[in-house]
Amino acid sequence: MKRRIGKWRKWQIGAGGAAALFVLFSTVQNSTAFQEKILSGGTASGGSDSTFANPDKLMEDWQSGSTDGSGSADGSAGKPAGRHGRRGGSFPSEGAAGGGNAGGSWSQSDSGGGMGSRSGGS
Amino acid sequence: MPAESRITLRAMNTDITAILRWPDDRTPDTPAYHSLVSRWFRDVEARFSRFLPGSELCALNRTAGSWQFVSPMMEEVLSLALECSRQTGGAFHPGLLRQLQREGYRRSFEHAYTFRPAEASGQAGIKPDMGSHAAAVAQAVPFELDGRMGAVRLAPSSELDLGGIVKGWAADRLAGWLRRRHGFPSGIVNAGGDLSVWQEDKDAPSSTIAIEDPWDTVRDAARLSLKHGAAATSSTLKRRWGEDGSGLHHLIDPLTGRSAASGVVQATVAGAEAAECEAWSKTFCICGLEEGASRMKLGAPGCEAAVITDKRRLILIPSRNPGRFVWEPGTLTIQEATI
Repeated sequence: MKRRIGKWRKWQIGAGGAAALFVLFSTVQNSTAFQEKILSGGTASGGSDSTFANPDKLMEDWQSGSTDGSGSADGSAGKPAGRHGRRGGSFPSEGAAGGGNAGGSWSQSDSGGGMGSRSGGS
Repeated sequence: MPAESRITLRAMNTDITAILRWPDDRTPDTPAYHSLVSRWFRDVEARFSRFLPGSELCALNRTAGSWQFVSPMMEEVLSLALECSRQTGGAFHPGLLRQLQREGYRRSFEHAYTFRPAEASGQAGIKPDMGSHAAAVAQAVPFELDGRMGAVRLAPSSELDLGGIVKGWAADRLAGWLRRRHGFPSGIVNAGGDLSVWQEDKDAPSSTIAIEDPWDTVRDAARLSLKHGAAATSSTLKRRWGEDGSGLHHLIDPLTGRSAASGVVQATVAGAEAAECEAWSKTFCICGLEEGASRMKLGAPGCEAAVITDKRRLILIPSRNPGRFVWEPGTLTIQEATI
């Protein structure tokens, strides 16, 4: 009798475990995140899983300089580039990398209204 | 009153602007972010330029037919390009570098006065495209991507040009990061007209994007107001070369392998991501107004488009959920599409 109850308990545990797994997989499969992943091409053509989990991982890796290849970081992120509102008089032409020279200009002001920008053919 | 930083630079042969509004509890440090923004766009250029022999893109283009490991950035952009190609029904096609070169665009654009189409210059090694539909379909998937391995294999004789989509992608990536990780409550990152806008204060005024008049670039054809989202503009009147009437420009029709001649001269698309908008604005210039609208309604029903035709008409293609984007007329009156 004791052995029979034990067997029955095992069956119960097995069935319960299978049901729990089914619910878990169904929940994941029906989640918005999973559906978005499938729509965006799935694992075969989408971004890496770590990118999916943390959309800023790529940028953080870039800032820390751990991205490989030619796009090397100059390590100046977060450090002031100068104390004047305008730096550099000439820009590198297309086909020339910046090489760490910031170039361009910046300004700072108080502003409370809506922001504005411009879009034309690029 | 909140402080606002305005950063401008030139990279990827285009004008880059970042406008960042600071939270009240932080002391603005514009130079630090000028450095950060500059470094981001120059690194992106160094990786994705087709004019730099040492770029990752150029290295990849030399390996057609074999599997290559690529950087996470390259993998992400290639994945995005595949998705955009699928959504636009192949109108957006990242594998048309050879066709673009055959039209004459072989060097960076400041050398445009030297551009000649292959048949005119007798350029060896670049064969005329037959323009058949079958050929275009065969080229529809210019590469395979293995996301698990982080590897890509270009189709034989395929070469990639990611110049268009990378600007939008870079703007999207930087804008999202500045918003989430650096705590800027509102801002704009604009890479040559492909821009990302965010505003977390629901009561704050919208941002206004001036849409350039393609025939009079100092004036605005229209204006777009939005609080959160993105926009991109493509034009067949920009980056043109050759004699007047030659019709040569940088937007290649994958069906013909030649500069597109669709009757659309400029398209601005508003949506969630600048890269997606860029793909759709190109699609309108390549496929034309009606076909572009038809594809966008299927592939990206949340996007809206302001399409300017060669008859100087500005047609608005509304999204499924109107109200998110507000368009106002400038030099051109706005007509709503009846498609």
